[in-house]
Amino acid sequence: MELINSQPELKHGLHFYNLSNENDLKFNNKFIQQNTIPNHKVISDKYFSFIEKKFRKQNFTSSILKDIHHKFLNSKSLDQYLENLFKINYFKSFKTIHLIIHEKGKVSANHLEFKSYAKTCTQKDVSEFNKLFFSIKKSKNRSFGQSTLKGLNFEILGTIIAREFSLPKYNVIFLLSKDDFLPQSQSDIDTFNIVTNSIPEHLNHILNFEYNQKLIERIQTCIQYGMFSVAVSKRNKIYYQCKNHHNFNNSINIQYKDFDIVINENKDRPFDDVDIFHKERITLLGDLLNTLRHELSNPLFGLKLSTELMLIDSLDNNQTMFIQEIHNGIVRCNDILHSFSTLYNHSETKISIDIVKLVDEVFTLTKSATRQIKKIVKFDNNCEKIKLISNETWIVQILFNLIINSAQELLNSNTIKPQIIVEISKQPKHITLKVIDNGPAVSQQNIKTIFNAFYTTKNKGTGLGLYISKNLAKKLSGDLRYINQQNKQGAIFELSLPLEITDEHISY
Amino acid sequence: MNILVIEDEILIQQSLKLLLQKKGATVTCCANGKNAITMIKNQNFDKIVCDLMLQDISGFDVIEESKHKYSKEEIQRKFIIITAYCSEQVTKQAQNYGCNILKKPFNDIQKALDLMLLAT
Repeated sequence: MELINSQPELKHGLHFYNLSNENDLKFNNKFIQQNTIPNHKVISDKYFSFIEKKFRKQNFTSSILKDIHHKFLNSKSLDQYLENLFKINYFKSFKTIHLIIHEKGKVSANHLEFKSYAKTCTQKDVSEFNKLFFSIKKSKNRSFGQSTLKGLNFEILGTIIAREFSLPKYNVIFLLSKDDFLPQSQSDIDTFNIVTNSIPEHLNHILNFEYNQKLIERIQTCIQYGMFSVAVSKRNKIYYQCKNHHNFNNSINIQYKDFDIVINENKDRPFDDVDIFHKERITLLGDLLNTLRHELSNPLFGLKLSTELMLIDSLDNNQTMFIQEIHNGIVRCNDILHSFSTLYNHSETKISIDIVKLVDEVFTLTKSATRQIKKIVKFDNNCEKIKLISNETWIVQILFNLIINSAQELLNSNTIKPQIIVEISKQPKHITLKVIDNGPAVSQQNIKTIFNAFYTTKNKGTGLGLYISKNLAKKLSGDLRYINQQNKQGAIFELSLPLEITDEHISY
Repeated sequence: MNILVIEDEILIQQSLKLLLQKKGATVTCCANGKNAITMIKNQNFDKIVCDLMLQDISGFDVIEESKHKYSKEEIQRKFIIITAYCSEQVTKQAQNYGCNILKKPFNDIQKALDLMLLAT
């Protein structure tokens, strides 16, 4: 790999804004807290000068404005800022604060609704947002009634007082409602105008800050799993360094302000381009299968109906047999398509699942990998009646992964009389599914690392199967673990799932 | 019972026709939306079985056009939507019109036929 030695220009690279706790409004122009990136807190000169200007421009003898600004400086996030606003007397007279934010370029807008005791967040379509935004912008009055909201999907009650802001990256609607139908007086509107003058800058700052936070997290993930390892230092003090950073001869050196940045090829990178392409291929495959399924299901349905008709009319026994076979073939095609589509389904719905039937389905899906292997499903009598309420796709994915892993180990190790047993047992509040094979056990030293991302013992493995499966199990409020039988032969993976998941359980 | 079947997959169209005829209904078939609209305008049907994914226009467009002839209540009674694509959006739209919606392929063909033959 060729490294290009150049000095790229990093624009907003290292300014991490933090809304720090300013109890008194004194400003120190060169206020920097030293810390390791990404907790690096830098309040730049630019931000201080803008605040000073704001103070001078507006009438800050007004205590409301001071208060609002103070609350802003005390907030570390958008939610906190709006909660803090509610503590100010002016805002307390309203029942709800609505904030509708549209990131320019996105197809949906976020509608945050704050009451003093609760908040909700819903998504709104950008066309609806724009209609409301422009009708507020066009109007010279700040007070609106239900007629403005007519036909739109916003659930906002009563007369509202609103203002729209056009920030560089976002369009925002700021709405206050008393949840009654009384009109706003002119003095109410005037106060509102003054009060909300500093809000756009606050919002811009917070939204940019949160945006940067997300960006930093993504950059960190890229660095962690990426092709490069990075080390950042300032005057020989290390700010940030990747775990496996080494200094090589042909590294890129960049200087940015007082920082020295060294970028190297990550030679310890645990995966290569093949794996990235493989992941992409799997996503593409999922989409392709979905399309295929829809395209095939229509003609197959036509075929099925016509064979059923022919069966009704058929008099010749031979003919009947043939038509019946055609019909069976079609039914099989449908079942296979259906099984595959649930495997790649992106929806996250919970349905009532017959667990025994699901295990059978997974065995069908894994048939090609488990041809020479004996497959047994064991369950107690009370398991047949179990209806698990959970996400079928994810459970299928986990079992599929476990069975394929077992099959591969059994075949690679040339185990005599290979077999895979899936044992289902019911506990009071959950069920466990054990995938047991009689192949080699996981070695003692590997047991701790098998669920790690990118850990694999295979030449062409991605190392993601067990990692993803464990995460899915956790998402379902269950768990996936390996049962250590010490020196006994065979591998047992146990998936435990609660019998019913409510919405509180599913965490994303 | 006069039924109109609007479906562009010929095998499905003809099979439904035969199956419904066996149960005593008079069936007319149509493979595209525009012809269907003309037929609905010129003739009277007791039931209209309409596929969503037609070659030229959508099944919902056919329903919209039929509003010129039928009242909202009649549309609810007469139209049965059949479709392979059953997304949330589709179900919502069908609920707006208030008609029955059947997902292809039919799990239980007898039940589906009974729904189509239900006298209104």
